Amino acid sequence: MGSFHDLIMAGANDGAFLLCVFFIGYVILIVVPFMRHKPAMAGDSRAFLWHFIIPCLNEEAVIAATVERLVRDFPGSHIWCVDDGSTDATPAVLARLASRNYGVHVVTRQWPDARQGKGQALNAGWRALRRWRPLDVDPDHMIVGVIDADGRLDRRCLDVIAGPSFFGDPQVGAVQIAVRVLDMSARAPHGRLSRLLVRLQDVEFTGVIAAMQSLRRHIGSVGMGGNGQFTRLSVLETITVEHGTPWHGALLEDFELGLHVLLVGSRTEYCHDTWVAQEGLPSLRSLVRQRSRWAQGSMQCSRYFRQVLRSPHISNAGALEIGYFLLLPWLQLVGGIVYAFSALVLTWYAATTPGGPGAWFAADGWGLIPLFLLFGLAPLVVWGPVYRATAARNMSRTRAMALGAANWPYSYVHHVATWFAFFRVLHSRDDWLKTARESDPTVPEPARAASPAVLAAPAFLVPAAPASSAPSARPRLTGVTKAVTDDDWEQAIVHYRQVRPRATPARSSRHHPAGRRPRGAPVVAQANRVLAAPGAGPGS
Amino acid sequence: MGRGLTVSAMLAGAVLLVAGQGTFRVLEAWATGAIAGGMRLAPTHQAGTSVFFPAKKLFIDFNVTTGCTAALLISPFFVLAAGVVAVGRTSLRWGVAALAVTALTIFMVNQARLLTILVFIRRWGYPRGYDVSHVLVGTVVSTLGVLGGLVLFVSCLRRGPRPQAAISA
Repeated sequence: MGSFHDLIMAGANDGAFLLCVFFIGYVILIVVPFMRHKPAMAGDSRAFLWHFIIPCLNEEAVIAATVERLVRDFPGSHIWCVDDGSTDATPAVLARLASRNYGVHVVTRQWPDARQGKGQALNAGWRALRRWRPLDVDPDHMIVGVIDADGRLDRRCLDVIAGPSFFGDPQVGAVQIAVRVLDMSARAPHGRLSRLLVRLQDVEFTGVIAAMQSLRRHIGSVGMGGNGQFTRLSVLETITVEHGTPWHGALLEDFELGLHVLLVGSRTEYCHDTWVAQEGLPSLRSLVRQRSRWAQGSMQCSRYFRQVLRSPHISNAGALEIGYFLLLPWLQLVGGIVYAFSALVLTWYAATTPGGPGAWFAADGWGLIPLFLLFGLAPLVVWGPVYRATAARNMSRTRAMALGAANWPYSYVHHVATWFAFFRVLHSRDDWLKTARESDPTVPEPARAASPAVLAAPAFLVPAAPASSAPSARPRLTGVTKAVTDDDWEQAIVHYRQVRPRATPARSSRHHPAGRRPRGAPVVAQANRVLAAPGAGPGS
Repeated sequence: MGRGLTVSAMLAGAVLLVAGQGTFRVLEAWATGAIAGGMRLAPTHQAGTSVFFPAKKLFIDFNVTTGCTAALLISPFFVLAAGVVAVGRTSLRWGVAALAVTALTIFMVNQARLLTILVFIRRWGYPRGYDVSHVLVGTVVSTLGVLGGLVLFVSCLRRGPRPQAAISA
């Protein structure tokens, strides 16, 4: 019995140790190539036809600015706004936009087929696009991008992803661009904790996720995200032949699409040289909800585990990495139990050592401090300096280290979210409300049989999708706010360009060297004020 | 048939390592004593899972406990290799090679850790030499070693051929 007891204790400790080593190894594996990233050569966006699908659910505060920016920055592109049963002024806003712009199309989903999830909304937009598409257009040269209603796309985006490393390579079927998370709220300035939370989300997207995607570029397992994903129409149609629609029912419909792209034999790519910006979540509660939905979506995608492992289109390293990602929520659950058990074991040792906890600490316990620093803190703190080096060069080293230290408690959000998602899986609950943003206005509760707004311009009424479960409840709505001004975005873009050299579009057959010196100091200082202290900038 | 047998053997190996960790520890103690003697680090005598050696006027009974053995660190790699071979992600040859290389690496790294502790005790006596080496140095050595084993494991598995059959829609 004593031997079995020792075996259990040793197994728990070794299990915790292996998990720590695997984690450190993974962090090293993603950080090193990420820091060596060099900008890719841009291409000519005129070689492709560009279509944006924007799912809209009560987006009156943000959609107009988003669409107008897309129309202005990407003339010739088509924008498909899918009104997914909005009950605010979104339909009227979309109608006005469509009446003024030839390239803006409105796809209206009606109750009770509306609000069946983002995937179904995207499918509605894609179906309308297919019906509209001229038959003589090569689907290989039609690119379908998915942008959030509050998304802000880099003006250089289409030229960059038209480059030879991305859609310029015929084997590339889908490209995910970098995502920036910014404080876009124009309401009363957020508190320090809220600003920190938004900043940590930016660290997560531009650091951790970007580094993971950079590794995945090398092993052929780049994942798609919900904002800033671009796919060839031909690949979407290939997926449709096999699965009926491009996007499906998983809560992570974007990641699921990426898996499908790989499983049909196409290649996914990640582009860190351009970006889309989205609103950060300033409250812990909404962040946990969002991460719980993602964790549950990742758990749902576990059903592809076997297919991925057996697919001849995915490299061995790619299959191992995707397998690791699909198992990650489950590993987090197991790890939580293992670490909790190890903590109990250590507590028991401390309590039963002759001389008490003090004697235990003096004898062996002090060693926990360097172990904690090495395994528990260092792999998380490192992202502060990485963030400074890759996305916020004007940040001081001290602030970067503090941000890295704050990343440690921030990481526990994912653990909490994973457990929350697990309990939802146990109770077979997959109904999620759309994550409310700060700029969402309050509107009256909708009538069940709400009819679509009268549209002055041609609109696409999507055929009824198969009826599914009862429509989800309305998202939680907050007070009316002022939308973020273009000045805010200009300053954010200028700041971003300080750290990402411009990749010159190849307008002729001659090679244009990538990279250009950023603007001068006064502009940097101005941008710094916006991002370093959003509460002090205009429109905050 | 061969793949099934190999997978079964790997899984059986994982179970045997855990169930037979007592015997494995005896092997480790013997190896530690032999290497320490061969490298003239210390005059040793091995009995069961213990290695005896003199240090600072003391006679040290250096016991390879369940918490010190490499068996529990190696057994998860048996399970991983079995999984990768079972789904056809690598050939039998590379699967066995990955496992062998990783198991040997972790075994030797654990030996390096045990010998480091032995040297520290010889140099700084007990308990000071033991406390420092057992907690700090030993952990660093183990971490680097297991990381190295993991890198070798993944490198070998990457070399295997992809599955031949495509997934039907």
